[in-house]
Amino acid sequence: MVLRRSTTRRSRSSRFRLALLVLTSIVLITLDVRTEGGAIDTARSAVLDALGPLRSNSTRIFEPVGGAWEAVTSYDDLEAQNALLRAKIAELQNSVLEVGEIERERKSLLALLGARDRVAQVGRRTARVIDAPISNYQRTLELDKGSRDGIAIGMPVETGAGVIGRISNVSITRSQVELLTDPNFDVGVRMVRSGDDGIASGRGHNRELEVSFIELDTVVIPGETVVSSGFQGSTFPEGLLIGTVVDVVPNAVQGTQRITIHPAADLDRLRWVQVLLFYPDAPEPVIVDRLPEDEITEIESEGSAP
Amino acid sequence: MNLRAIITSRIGALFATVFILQVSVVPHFRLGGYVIDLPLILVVLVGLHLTPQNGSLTGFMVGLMIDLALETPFGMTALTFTLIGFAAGSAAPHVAERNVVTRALTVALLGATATALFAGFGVLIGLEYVSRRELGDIALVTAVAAIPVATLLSPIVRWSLALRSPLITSDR
Repeated sequence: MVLRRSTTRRSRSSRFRLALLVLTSIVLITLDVRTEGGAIDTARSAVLDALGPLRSNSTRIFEPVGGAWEAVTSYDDLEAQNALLRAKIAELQNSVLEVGEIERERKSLLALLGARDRVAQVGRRTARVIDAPISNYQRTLELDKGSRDGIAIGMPVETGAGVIGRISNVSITRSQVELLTDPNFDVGVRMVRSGDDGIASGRGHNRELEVSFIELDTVVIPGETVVSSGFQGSTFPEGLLIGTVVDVVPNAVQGTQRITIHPAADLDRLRWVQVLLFYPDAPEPVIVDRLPEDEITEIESEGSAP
Repeated sequence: MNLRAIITSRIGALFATVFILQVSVVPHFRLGGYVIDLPLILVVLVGLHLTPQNGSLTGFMVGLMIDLALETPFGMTALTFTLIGFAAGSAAPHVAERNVVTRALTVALLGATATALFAGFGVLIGLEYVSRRELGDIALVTAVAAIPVATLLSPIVRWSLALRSPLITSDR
């Protein structure tokens, strides 16, 4: 009898302690999700800095061994990937000429409009990817550059092929990149053909992005290029390549289209990336539809004439 | 130094070592493209020799340590490890002194459950980290890896907990 009472009391006590720990965890999760730049972020930055040298050195030591291990454990995947890459190269070779033509056209249009190619003027910092996620739920990449290299939270990160994400956390010597497939990721985008703007959102690892707020009457075709729209205050400048349209589903109820896009950059096996040192609030006006200098002078002289 | 302090320091050192291995070595040796969750396996393995109360507390502390190194919401790993530590502690009287295979299979089962729990909590707060197929793969990898890892770590855990006699039933 006494033993049973003692067991019941202990069971109640352990359940009470479990409830307390669960509650504490929920409070911590809420605090972290709701607040930005608090004590938790500071502690994480400190841990990121502290673990930085260890992770860099271990990557240097274990990367070749890990590569061999991966070749053994994922041989079939690698073979399939190899075939896919060969097909992609052939496809890319065909589109290189086309892209060159589009680029020339874009530059001439920009010159005509008098707009400055803002993207080309943005400073870049090349960083090495420490490709070693600690957890299977960690969809961020770690870079070997931090705030002392001018990197700040929100800055876009890209490879030569297109955007891969944005800086989500930064410490003195390290930074973390939130990939554009992350469910938290949102960016303002523009459909290149129509010029219509929408919001692209990540939907999870290995899944395409979804663009919302594109009206029903906008003509969108698969294969169409999607770039960042660079809305005022956006952490992305205008014109960064995000991806290409793969699917368009009209939603008559909402009066919009659900557009699926495939990221332009390959998000797997990244080694080197570029962080765009873009400050959205920097006083750098984008001048569109600017009149030629001689016309401005003409108008001014007309205005000052008696 | 009394026995309680010795056990606490040994367990602390064991988890610290596993944490360092997890952030430095383990990510380079993925199984089927997925990372093996050593701290989770260790939490379950240690929990199988503790009371539910101490199992959940150990899970909570280790989870917080892992949360500091992750980008997922702070407290999510702690929450998962707390529950799984409690479950391991509850299973302890039935499993702890069974043969190594039974223990390893229990660790595998609880490890896979923890994987699903974490993903479930993510969905609850609107963060779908993995697709269903990936979740199945991760749970499978965790379970498969748990069997040899638990077998290898079992003697170290028993030494850390100073287990000469069978089960620790009193609260530490």
